[in-house]
Amino acid sequence: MDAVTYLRLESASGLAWVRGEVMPTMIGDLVADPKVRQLAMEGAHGAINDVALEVRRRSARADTSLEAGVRRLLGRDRRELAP
Amino acid sequence: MSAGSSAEIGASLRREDYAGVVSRLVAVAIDVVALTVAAAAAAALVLGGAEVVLGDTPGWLVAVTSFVLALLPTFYFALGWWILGQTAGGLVMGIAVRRVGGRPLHFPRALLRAILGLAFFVLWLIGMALAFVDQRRRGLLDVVTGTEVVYVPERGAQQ
Repeated sequence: MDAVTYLRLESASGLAWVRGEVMPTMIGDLVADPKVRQLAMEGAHGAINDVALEVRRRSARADTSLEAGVRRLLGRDRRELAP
Repeated sequence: MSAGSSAEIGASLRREDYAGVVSRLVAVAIDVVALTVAAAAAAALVLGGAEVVLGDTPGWLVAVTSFVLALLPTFYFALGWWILGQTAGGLVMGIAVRRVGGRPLHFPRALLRAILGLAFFVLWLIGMALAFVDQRRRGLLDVVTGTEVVYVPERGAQQ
């Protein structure tokens, strides 16, 4: 066996060991860490808030557009609508 | 109470500060979905639970469950408008119900609004067209019950 082949085999078995033994332990530790959990919760909460804000803005724009369309259809001027 | 959110909104609002038809319909759609899911879950829990525990579903339990579920939408809307000025749909869409002039709804008015809106749903839907021409974007139900629906300012936003 030449040196290059030996090194390849060693690094492959090393990677397999990291994947099989080290990574699951690290992921387990991260998932169990309250700080990481809190960070994930905050991220999810922020994302939900962003979606809600975007939905609100779009629906508010749709309100105005629909209203303008209906008024055009009715041929009514905005000034006529004052109370 | 809805005093906080309603009081934050000044008395002199522009037309654009009142919630339009699209926002309000989306909010109602969210409420319908939330109510349907909650009612189905409650019915499954109570009736399914009885089936598992008792081996049978008594007639009286079906009657009581049906009665409670029939009242659920009325009290969902009435309590939401009374306590928060908002239902779940309103919270998501950022809109709130208040009395004309900006004060929060008392329970009787919130209950009346809920009963009329649910009993005359089609009329409520048709009456919503009034919002296109009303200066405060009020639908027929708002005019009848003396209420208005406004956008709740985003937190930290400049008034």
